[in-house]
This record gives sequence, C-alpha cells and structure tokens, in this order.
Amino acid sequence: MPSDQTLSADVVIVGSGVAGSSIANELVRAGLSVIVLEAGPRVDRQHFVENFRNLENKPSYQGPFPSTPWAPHPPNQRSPNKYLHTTGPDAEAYQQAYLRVVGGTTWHWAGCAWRYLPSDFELKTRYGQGRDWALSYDDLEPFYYQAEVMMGVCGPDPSVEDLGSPRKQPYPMEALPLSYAGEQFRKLITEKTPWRVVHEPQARNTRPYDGRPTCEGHNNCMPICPIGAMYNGSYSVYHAEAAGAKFIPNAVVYRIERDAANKKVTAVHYYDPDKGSHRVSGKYFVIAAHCIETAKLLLLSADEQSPNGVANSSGHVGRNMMDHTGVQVTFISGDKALWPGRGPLETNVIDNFRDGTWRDERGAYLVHMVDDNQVDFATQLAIAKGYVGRELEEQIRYLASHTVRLFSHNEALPDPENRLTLSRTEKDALGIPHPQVYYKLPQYTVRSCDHTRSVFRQLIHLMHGTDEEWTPGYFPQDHPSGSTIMGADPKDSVVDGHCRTHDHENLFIASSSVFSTVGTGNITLTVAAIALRVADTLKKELLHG
Amino acid sequence: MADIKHIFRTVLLGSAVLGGLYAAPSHAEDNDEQALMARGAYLATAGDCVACHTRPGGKPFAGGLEIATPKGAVFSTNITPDPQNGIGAYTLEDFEKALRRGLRKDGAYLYPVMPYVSYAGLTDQDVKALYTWFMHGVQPVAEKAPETQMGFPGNIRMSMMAWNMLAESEKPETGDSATYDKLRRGHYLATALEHCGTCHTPRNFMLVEQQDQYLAGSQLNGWFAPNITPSSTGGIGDWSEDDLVAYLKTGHAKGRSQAAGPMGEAVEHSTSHLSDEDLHALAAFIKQVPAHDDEIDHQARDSFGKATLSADLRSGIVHRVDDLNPLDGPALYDANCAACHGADGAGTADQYVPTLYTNSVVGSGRTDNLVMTILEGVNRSTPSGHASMPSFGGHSDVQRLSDDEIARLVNYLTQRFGSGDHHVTGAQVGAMRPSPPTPTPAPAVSTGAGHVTAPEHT
Repeated sequence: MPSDQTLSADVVIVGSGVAGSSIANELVRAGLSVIVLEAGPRVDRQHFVENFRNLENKPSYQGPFPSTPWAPHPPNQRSPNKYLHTTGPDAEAYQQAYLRVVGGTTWHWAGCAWRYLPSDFELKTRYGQGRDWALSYDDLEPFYYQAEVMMGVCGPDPSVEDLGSPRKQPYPMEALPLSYAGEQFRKLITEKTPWRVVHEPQARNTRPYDGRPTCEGHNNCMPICPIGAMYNGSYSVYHAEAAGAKFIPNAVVYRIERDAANKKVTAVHYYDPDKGSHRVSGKYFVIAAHCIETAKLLLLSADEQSPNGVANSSGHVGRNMMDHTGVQVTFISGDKALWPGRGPLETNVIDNFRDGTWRDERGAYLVHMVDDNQVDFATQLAIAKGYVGRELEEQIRYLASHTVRLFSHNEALPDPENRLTLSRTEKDALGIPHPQVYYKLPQYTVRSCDHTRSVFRQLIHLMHGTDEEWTPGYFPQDHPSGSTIMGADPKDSVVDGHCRTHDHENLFIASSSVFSTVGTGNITLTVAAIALRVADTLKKELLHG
Repeated sequence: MADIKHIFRTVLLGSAVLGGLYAAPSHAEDNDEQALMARGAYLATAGDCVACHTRPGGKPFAGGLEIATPKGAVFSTNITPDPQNGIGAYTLEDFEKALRRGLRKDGAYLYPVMPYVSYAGLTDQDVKALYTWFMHGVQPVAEKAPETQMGFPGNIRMSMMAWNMLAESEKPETGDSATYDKLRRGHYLATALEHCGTCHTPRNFMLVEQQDQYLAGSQLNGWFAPNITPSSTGGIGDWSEDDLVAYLKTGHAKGRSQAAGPMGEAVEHSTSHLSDEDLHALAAFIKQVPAHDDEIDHQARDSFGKATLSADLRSGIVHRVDDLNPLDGPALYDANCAACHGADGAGTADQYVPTLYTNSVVGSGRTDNLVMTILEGVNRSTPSGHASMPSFGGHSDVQRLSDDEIARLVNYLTQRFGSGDHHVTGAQVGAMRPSPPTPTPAPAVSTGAGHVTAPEHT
C-alpha cells in the first residue's frame, strides 16, 4: 500500500478484541462506517490448536502464540521477559499474559464471565477505600445482559444461587454442571465450612448457541478451546465484518493526531509491518487496545501539544495499574480422589469473600478450585520423590487424581505509583518502545492475600493435604486494569463515566484500563459491557446528535 | 438431471413452528371433530407440509419460502385459513383438488414442486381430516406470499397439464387408513404422506420420478439422497427395521448413519413425530421395496473402516501467529475433527458424536454428503435431543475452511475411514458452497441497551 493512502470512517477503532470488535459490530449494524485497526495478524483456530498440541510446555498460556516482530506481546510470564518489563518489589506478580492478534486475548481465556457487584463501583463511598467509578451498577446492568447474550454466557438461576449482582433477565444459558472434582469440593465446603461454592458464570456453551457447539470439557480453554464452545473476540470480528465493518490487520497505531485546539482527535497513524505509515481519519475514535497497549499508545503520542501524552492532562495515563494479584497453592489431598481435569478449567468458586464490612480494611477476593489436568504437576512430584518404574506410574496416577490447585483473585487498589511507562532502552522492530511497569502490591491487597492464605491453610487441613507447593510471593491473574482511570474529576482521572477522555471530546477508551477499582470477578464481561455502552453513546451522538 | 429436486433447500425452521401443530382445537364441537382435528394435525406432520410452507423466521404455514428450481424460483404459498391470503375461502372440494390433483381454486395448475402426485394417494377421509385441521387448527396469517415468477415455458401453468399426464400419480387409497395392516400402512405413509420418493427416487429428463428406480437415490441440491432400497451392496439391506426406526425417530442409527441437511429437516419436522407403530410400518415397507444395486457404491456404505490411530503428528514445532501454513489431511483432521470425533475416529462413547468409520456418509463413494456436512454442519432437533456439529463453511465462527482444505480433509477421511481416496478437488467443493454469502445474522438482535434477545434453541 502507498504510505500516503488516506482512509476514513465515522468511527475508527484501535484494537480488535472483545471491546473493539463488539463496538464495531454494533455501530456498523446501526448504519455507521467503521474501520478497526489491529496491530496483530489474522489468525485461525486450527493453527492455534496445532501449535498447542505441538507445544511441549502445555501450561504455558502464551506458548502457542509466538508474536510477530511488529506487534510483540509477552512471550511468557517470566520476569524478565523480552517485552513487558516489570520492576518494583512485586515485579514478578505483574507479568500479564495477553495477545496482539485479530480477536484479541479472549483466544486464550477461561471464559469466566462475572458481573461486578454493585459495591465494586462504590468502594470509596461504602468503605472509604480506593475510588468510586463515575458510573453505577445500574447504569451498566442492561449492557451486562447485552454482553452476556453476545458472548453466550451460562450461569445459575438467580433464585437458586444469587451471585450478588442483581439481574433483570436470566442467564442466556443454564449453568455449567460442576465437574466431579467441583462437586466433591462443593460437598466438602458445604458440609465442613461456613462458606459456599457457586457455579461460575461462563462464556461457554451449555447448549449449541450461535452456531457453535456445546462445551465438551477438553480442559484446555487456556490456551485454546479446540471446538469454539467458548466465546472469543473473533466471533464479534466475523459478525462485524459480515455487516460491513473494515478490519485492517497488521496496522500498528503509533500516533494520535489532534486539531490545533487539541480538543478533537483528527486521525490516527499506523505502521504496516514494513513501517510504511498510513493515516486514518474519522469523526470519533475509540482506543480498545488492552490496558497495557492503550496506555502505551497514549504515552507514545506525546508531542508539543501534549508533552505528557494524549488525554493525559491529569498525568494519570499509565498510573493506577491494578490486577487481581493473588495467591496460589497446589497440594495433594489425603481424601478420596478428585480426578481434576475433567471439564472446563474453571467451574466453581467460593464467593463468600467478594464483599463485606471488612472491605474498609482489606481487599475482597474470590477463590477458584482450578479444575485443570494435573498430570504434569504429579509427574514432577513423583519424580522428585524418587519413584521409578511401575511405582512411578502408579504414583503419577495417584497424585494426578488427588492434586488440588487453589488460587485467588484479590482486589487491588488504584495507586498512582503503580505505573506504566515507556522503556527508554527496549524497542520493538518498528522502533516503538516496550512497556514497563513498576508494581508494588498495595497493603490493602497484601492484607487480603494474608487472609486468603489462612483460608487456604484451613482447606488444606480439611482435605488432609500434603506436599503443599505455594507459588512464591504473589500470583498474577492477567487482569491488568486502571491505566486510563475513570473518574468525575478531570484533574485526577482520564475518562468520564461514558469512557470519553476528559481532554478530547471525540476520543473514547473501551478497555479494562478505565476501571476505577478492579473488584474480584474476571474482568472481561465488564470490559464487554463497557464497550457496548460506548457503542450506545456513539450511536446516540452520531445518529441523533 | 433430476434438478427439480433442488426444491428442497435448506430450511432453517425454528422448533417454534411445530409448536403450532399441536395446538388444541379451540372450536371443536364434539369428540368426532376433535378426533378429526388430531388426525389432521398428525397427517400434516407426516406430510411435512410445514417444511415448504413456512419461510425461515416466518409464521407457520404462511408460505413465502423461496424454492429454487431449474426453471426459476418458486415461492410456497400461504396455506393458513386466512380468506384473502391463504386458503380460508377453499371448500373441501377446492382443497382436495389442490392436494391430490395440483389444481388451484381458480383453476390454475400448481407447479409440481408441490408433491400432489404423492398426496394423490390420500384417502378421502384423510383429506377431510387435513382440511378440517388446516381450517380450524392453524392460525390464520394475513400475509401475502410473494408471487412465483417463472420463465417460459414454466410460466405457462397450462404446460403443467402436459407434465401431469406424464407423471404417474399415486392412486387414492380407500377406507380408513388407521385400520390398515402394517405393510399397507407403511406404503401409505411412504407414498401418500412422507413422499420419500420425491427426493430418493431418480427422475427422468422430464423430471418425472422413475418408478422402476423407486428410492434408488438422487441428487438433492448439493446433497445426495441415497439409495435406500434393500440392496445389500448399493442400499441399506444391512439395516434392521429397528435401525430404520431409530434413524427416522432420532436422525441417527448408531454405527450406520445420521441425518443432516434436507433429511435432518425431514426427521426434525416430520418423522421424529410419528408414532412408533407408524415408524415400524414405514420401515417395514421400505425394507421390502425392490432392491436396486448402485452405480458407484458396491459395498454397504456403513461397512467400511475401523478405529485407527494416525501416525504421531507431534513435531514440537510452534509456528508464529501469522504463519497460517497449509495443513495437510492428517493435521486438518487433528485440528478440526479429532477433538470431538476422537483421534481414532470412534466418536464419543454415547455416540452423540458419531463414529466416522462404519458411517454411511464417510463410506459412500459419493462424497457429496460429507462435503455438505462439513460446509453446513448438523443442526437437528428432535424430541430425543439436539444434534449439532458446527459448520466449517464460509459463515462459521469456529473455523472457516477453504475449498482446498475441505477437499484434502474429505480425501483423508474417506481414505482413512471409508471406501478410499475419491480425489475430490477444491473446485468441486467450491461448486457445492451455498451461493452468494448472505450477511451473518447477528448473534443478538440489538436495538440499544437491554433490547436484546438470545438466539433460539435451534
């Protein structure tokens, strides 16, 4: 393509994940023209499945997705790795997995589709901690449902199992039955503790839905669902394309151009893989490029008009980085076999610690009994114990059927010191700086994790557990959020309650980067709901404005 | 040659359509009337009227389904009792003429897309039952179905009179069809109602069913309605009556075959709703029609193959995300099929996912149905459950396979699990793809916040 080619649309979207593609789908079906720019390439399921099957290190979620030089993503979750550079006391706990490909990171997620609790939006008002969002649960409720229908979410009947997020409609699909391990775990928790195990809402089919099959429990939702029973952003890409949205892959946006008054965005500029530059103009712009890449792009666009980066008059772009940094333990149950790994990865949750008056002092959390295949862990343990020959095989069988893995999503707080900046030394093939993040777990989260550890120890005791293996320090949950934080006050936040940047009237952000707090549930459904709300706002302004 | 069979195109009808069939008669005046209504409803199901007389997403029996024929598109008509747009003004005599003789109330000839040569075999009593039910058991719909526009000579409806003289109609049965013995009942169901021959019997150059080749198999809009005569090499001579009943009732005879495409619809809308007694009668009849060997299949289609494991494909090599290198047959199978059908092709233990060996669709020398199943998937709801396989065609969200990929995959499947490599080419697959891609329907109808509906069960 010639580098001076000019493209234009009513709405230009950066990023083709669940947020960008679902906005594109809504807008194009309302009659608006849409261009979506995706840094990564087009991909398909069959090649990911083959990569996964050929991969030796099966638990590596990033492993089957080696990135392109022009759109690098973290090659693994080790620190240091060659892309996401983390520093600070808890650097290793902020190694986030994400993908830069058409369809985005939901190619490898576990499908957990939680709504936030009403209290999650009002943490400051209710508990004096963190911030309030500039929108309420009620504002988001219809969009939560729209997102659940779009993605195909299954979940429990609220009259039987109330998950604390009021619903006007039932889940589009019936809840996923618990696996055998999940049932055993639930029985134990119900009988022996004051807590409960609930069915996790999942963007996963419990019946044929939207032309895709019912989940068969292959147990490798991460890194890739082999049959398409779980939602991923590529479906929204397909639907948007069928309705006329234009997706341009391998388009690495590196600059956001504004008018002379610096009030409106006029165009974005992208590099193709050969570093040819292209300009795309539009009436409205949405950055939907994942928490880390969104902040990176805004900072990268710094110029004379905005020396600290676009949309950054508050100085909060790249700050307030959060996650559900948690704790993890794996152990061998002394009770009867659980046979984990038969069903989807995550089906059951202890949700008693998602909210409570104690949130004025320590963060909330939820506990997953992760239902993944444990042959790898069991084999390493059996070898370490010195077994050989037939005994080794027997031990692998025994240990794999008795392994329990627990991890938690613990609530972070927005701390401006936890900050994403552009690396001064590391650059990608196009010369674009890598992101780097300073991370120190807030004391609020540390206290939450301490509480979780005590609960895990009780559970290990209850299950007569042995061979405990605690993940050192803290465990990243790949739910980065907060880097373009939402708030009512332009002085200390980047976007308003509609995800419009305070600084530029036609620039919106649809990403977990706008989260003011991070709650406890997995972030994707809230990202989708916020994105659909952005689409609704844009439709109103462009069609009726 | 038998292109008229293009009449049966994919009809994606919601199960809601059938709901209307069993509506309690509201104006029944006495038990006789009620019995007649129930009989009419059952017969309409057995005749599968809804398949053609309802458009996708449309109201039951309101017509408007576009049916492609070599002579042009035919639109099915509104047969609800609406007097202006439907058949509300029809007398029993008018109804009988249309049903058994292909004559419209105004005297015009119907196109033989309407299987009146089959319905001609209905008894007077059953015609009356159908009439009663259509008049009182079906909701009138005040919608005009589009007019059929045909090119010459098909546009001259009179030319149908000449065709009718060539085509051999069923002779009307007599007496009470409910009292027939098993084989007579089976014959009645197969010919006058289910009109099996419409799809399964080859037609001559005048598009007339060749009765001396009854049920010997015929092309069907990309699919192939196979030879279902009792030939042990070319047909289904190795099937028991129970196998046939299971197939008609659920769409699946385990270890033999499963229904997709037009037959999936026939099972969904019609045969799965028949009584067990009728299914046995139908099966017994089919099992005793004259056997015909097949030009291409010389060994029972479901008798090929066995569970086999392929050579180890694991290379340890992981390709960059943008490296969409062409996959060969084994890798295509591994990436797209093996997750459900198993590395060895055995399917699931309960056969919800069927075995690929001893499977008629894979075993046949005609690869039409295998290609079409990959392109369109399976979506069949019956009272016994919902059978579903995703499409791998151009609208698939799961995986869109190219023509060449499908050809490589089909050749691999038939070689490994069926009657050998049949050397299907990408061009052949391309010709079978449904013509122009229509926009994928949105997963949810959205008119703004909260106004969304979840996709239906089908």
